[in-house]
Amino acid sequence: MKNSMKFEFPARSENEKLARTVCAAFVLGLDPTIDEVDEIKTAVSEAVTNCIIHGYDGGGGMIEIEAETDGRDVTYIIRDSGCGIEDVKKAMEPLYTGKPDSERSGMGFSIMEAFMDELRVESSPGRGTVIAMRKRISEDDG
Amino acid sequence: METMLIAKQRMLVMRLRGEIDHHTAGGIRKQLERELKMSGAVNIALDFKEVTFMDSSGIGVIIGRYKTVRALGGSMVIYNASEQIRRLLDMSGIRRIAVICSTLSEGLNIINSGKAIR
Ligand SMILES: Nc1ncnc2c1ncn2[C@@H]1O[C@H](COP(=O)(O)OP(=O)(O)OP(=O)(O)O)[C@@H](O)[C@H]1O
Ligand SMILES: [Mg+2]
Repeated sequence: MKNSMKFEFPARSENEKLARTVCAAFVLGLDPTIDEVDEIKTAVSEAVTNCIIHGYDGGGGMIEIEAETDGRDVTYIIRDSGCGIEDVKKAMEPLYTGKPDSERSGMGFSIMEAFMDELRVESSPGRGTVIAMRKRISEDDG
Repeated sequence: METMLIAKQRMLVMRLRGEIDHHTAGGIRKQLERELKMSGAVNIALDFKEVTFMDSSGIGVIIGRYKTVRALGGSMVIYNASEQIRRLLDMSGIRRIAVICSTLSEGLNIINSGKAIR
């Protein structure tokens, strides 16, 4: 089954729930387990929250999400046009945070990696960040 | 969020509800800090029974409040967390700074026995 969607919303915290809920609903046709839905919700929430807090530094802008299913694979692409990341490798290290004074634990990328099967981060400083995450939804043996 | 005070243990109990993310974390942080000050409590217990979602913003709130209670000589208890939330707590090392258990009384026993993590 192939399907796709694309949507855009302002980088405001009240839209975090909207984004993860829409992304979770998108895979329901593949009969995911409750755990798989939770994992997708959490990973999307991490990516979107990062766009709001870090990409736009709370200042606002637009976030775009594209999603696609191909067989039992689902891919989410989450884009901001914010400040970008200077050193992606360092940003992805567990416990690294660029905002140590804001109660951030530096766990976002680690959670995305743990909950999805593949994570790619592309960023250009001053232009924005693109997060691509893929997950394989387990075969329904029911 | 609903809170109660267990005066004998100087423990502030908060029943968390709904989804804990960046949007809701700030309110929880403010309420906990305010009520800690007002009540004179030094320990915090967080009831996760009604929490349906949490991401790293919740982890940030827990670590932040741990720092507050540690400075007061108190401890942090987390109970009733779902599988999904326990997994997140484990991943982020919360087990090293808080008592994670199934019921409030279990948490109180650990605090009373003096074995709580500080
Ligand atoms: N979209 C983005 N735009 C700019 N910088 C980003 C973006 N996403 C992540 N970063 C940078 O990468 C760092 C690590 O991100 P990560 O999500 O792992 O941790 P965090 O957001 O700091 O903390 P937590 O996610 O635990 O609350 C961030 O602190 C920030 O410096
Ligand atoms: Mg993050």
